[in-house]
Amino acid sequence: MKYDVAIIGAGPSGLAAAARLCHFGVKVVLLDSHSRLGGYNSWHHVRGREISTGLHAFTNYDPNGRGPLGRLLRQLRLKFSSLDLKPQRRSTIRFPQGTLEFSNDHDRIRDSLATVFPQAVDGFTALRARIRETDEGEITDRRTSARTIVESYIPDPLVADMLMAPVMFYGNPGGVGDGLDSARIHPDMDWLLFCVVWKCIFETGFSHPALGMRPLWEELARRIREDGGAITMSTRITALRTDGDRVVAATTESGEEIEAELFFSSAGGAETARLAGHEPPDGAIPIGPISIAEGIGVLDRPPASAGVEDTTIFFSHRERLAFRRPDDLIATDSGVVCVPGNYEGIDDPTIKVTHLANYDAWRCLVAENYRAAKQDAAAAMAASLRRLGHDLAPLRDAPGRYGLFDDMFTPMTLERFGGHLEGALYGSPTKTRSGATARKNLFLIGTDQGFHGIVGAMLSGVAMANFHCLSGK
Amino acid sequence: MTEQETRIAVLKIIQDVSGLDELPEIKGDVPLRDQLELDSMDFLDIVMELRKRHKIEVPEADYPKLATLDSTVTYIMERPA
Repeated sequence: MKYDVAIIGAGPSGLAAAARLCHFGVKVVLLDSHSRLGGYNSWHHVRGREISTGLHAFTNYDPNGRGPLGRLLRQLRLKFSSLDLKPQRRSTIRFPQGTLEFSNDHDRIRDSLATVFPQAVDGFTALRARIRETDEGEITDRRTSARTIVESYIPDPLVADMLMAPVMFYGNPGGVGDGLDSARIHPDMDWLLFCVVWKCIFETGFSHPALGMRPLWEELARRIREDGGAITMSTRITALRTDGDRVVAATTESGEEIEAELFFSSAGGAETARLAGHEPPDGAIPIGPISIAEGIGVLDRPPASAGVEDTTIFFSHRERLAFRRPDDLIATDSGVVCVPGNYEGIDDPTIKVTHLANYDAWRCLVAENYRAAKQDAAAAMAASLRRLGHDLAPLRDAPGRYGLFDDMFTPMTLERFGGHLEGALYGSPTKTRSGATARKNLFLIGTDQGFHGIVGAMLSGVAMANFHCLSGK
Repeated sequence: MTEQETRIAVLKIIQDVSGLDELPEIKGDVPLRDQLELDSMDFLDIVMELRKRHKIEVPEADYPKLATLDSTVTYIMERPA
């Protein structure tokens, strides 16, 4: 059996690419090492409750289905209503110097700024205009410092840090190797990527599918199969066998060979190069340094009744934001709190706290130390919440558990289930917009192709399917 | 297909590609992209759906002829069998 296209990874990009290709009669096989669809955005069970993994916010929300979300829906023949997206209530950015609010009402962040830091409003308005005018779709290898540009409009670094925090946490793959000065103390990222993520957050909005991502993944899988595509889960690809500059077959763990004309991989740039036996020049596609630990707590009441009214909190306990791979297991001085129950009309008693984490520190732990480290991290997450004024009680139905955040993802979890080396959250700092690799018929999709978020990842799959397969047919 | 059938078939494709539950009134002689939120990717989809559903091949050089509903119908009716 030879396929037209073999796709590695049944996450958002792989599912979207497969659905798009199958719709036009392309013979596709979609492969994933995990047993569940969705990649980082999958689901698992905590105390009998199905919980979305990964998903904090389905960004790019537009109540009329315009913009990137609309483009994606049209390309996949999905109806806006089928996603059943629930908008956020309100999110905050909380630093010692003050609290900023934002919501899907795009004026709210400016109004909030006008109250707390009135001197920054004019600069903010100009910065926002510049971002709106920036066409981040232009493919360029030139890297520009986002911080330099932001600070040219918002000279007060304490305000700049606050405005940059949500963008950093929701899309900065890390500074190493991206051509920016990685020795800089204060975090930075590529300007174009900054604009992409800013627009996801401040120019469109946050939403949450009523039942998580699972129904969408299952709908896409159903269509893929209905259109003649094959989906093979729990099958790890260990190598891509090449002949000259072309990939011939994907080799599975059990030694089976899956032949295809074209190969798409969402494994990541460095990961895919390794599979294809192609070691890029040193540092060409570095492994992303940014990973996280995330604690998932189940409250004994709706979060709003427990006094947590925000949908998302981006916080720093210090005036200056630290956004880099920490030296310790986790960086407790900043992070994100996500409260799915504070999207309109979602009944969900969970609360997630995310801190940046150091993959190497977690990897060298042996089993019992790993458990103890998770316990310490859980305590630190609860402490972070207390510092934000939320002293929460966990659902007390599980004696012997050690607190609110006894269910935890670490960089090890991300690496194991997401397939990205070192649990890189947003992939490599080096993005390849064309999707091209050193092998002529092998293309990157997903995070390392440079789109962003769930909508971006799916658009990546669609765009690569269009450019590298459908347009030539 | 008759001209009427062709028009209905094209409208069905436009509806599916535009993702709308119901199409607004489409003016036959006004560019589709002025009436609907469609971008270049969506126009490519109209071409691909024509091929998939009706085995109609539209070479890239002819894409400008699909700008309006009327011109699309005319193009399909007049193409060599």
